[in-house]
Amino acid sequence: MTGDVQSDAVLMQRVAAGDNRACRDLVAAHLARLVALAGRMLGDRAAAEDVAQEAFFRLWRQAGRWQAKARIGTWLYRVAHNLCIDRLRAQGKLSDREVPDRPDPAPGPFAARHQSQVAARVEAALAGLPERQRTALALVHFEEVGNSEAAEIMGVSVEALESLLSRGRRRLRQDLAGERDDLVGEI
Amino acid sequence: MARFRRIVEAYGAAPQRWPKAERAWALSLLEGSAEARAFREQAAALDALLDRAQATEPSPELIADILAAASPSAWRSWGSLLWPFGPLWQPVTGLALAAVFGIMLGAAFPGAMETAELVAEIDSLILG
Repeated sequence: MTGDVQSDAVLMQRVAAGDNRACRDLVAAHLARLVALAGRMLGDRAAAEDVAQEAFFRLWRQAGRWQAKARIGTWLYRVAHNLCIDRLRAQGKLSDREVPDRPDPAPGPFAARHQSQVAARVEAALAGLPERQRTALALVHFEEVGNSEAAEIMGVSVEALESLLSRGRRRLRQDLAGERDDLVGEI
Repeated sequence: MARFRRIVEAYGAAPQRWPKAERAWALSLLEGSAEARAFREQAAALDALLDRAQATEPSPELIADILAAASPSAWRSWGSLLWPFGPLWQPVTGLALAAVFGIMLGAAFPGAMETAELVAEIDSLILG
């Protein structure tokens, strides 16, 4: 993610002053990654775009009161993460249990968009992970967010983050192992 | 070696995802340990699979909606450029009242005053 705390504060001052270029730069820097994170958490592209949109709307409203305490990217990720949690909770899809669910063998609408069968299988395996493991992997592997930042976004310690990542990766290896020959052949 | 294994188990094979504070140490260990290299190779296979799962790009409509929603900030800034002395509602309210009085007086006494003179007269009454 771009910017440090101070330079991001200057950027937000420009947003508050109506600098459209600053707004465009922020959208260019962060929107795709927000949609990607929300997409992996929710498994639904339309819902992911709604979440990303709401996160940016809140950023615009915050512009006049922005304080130099956080990076914009971290703030946006945190808001998007919490919005996703709210949606999952409202849909009854959030469990405090860490008992893994059975992976849904049918790719969801998000996975269905991928032309590659490999991508679809991997997406299905990701979708089958418990939410916190999926979120940890989305942040660290796909968005390459640093461990401290990812832990802050998820509201956990770095140690807890590493545990989630390890368990998620272990689960994915198991889920994809049965298809490894096919997948290796396609790779 | 135990910590290196935990790093790779959690973060995968790519050093750019390893904890920043431990990256140099881990790379140094990797260079000198065949066991570490073999362990990292196993993790790289999963990384390669995960990298096949590509995220889709945001739609142009989403981008347009988000940027359009940013424009009220621009409207507020234009207001502050026109009236930098405080809340914009003060001069706006004053002008609105002046306009209302002008319309009322003009309706009551058509032709009695030029509009500009009328507005100036009311302004001096309201603003002192």
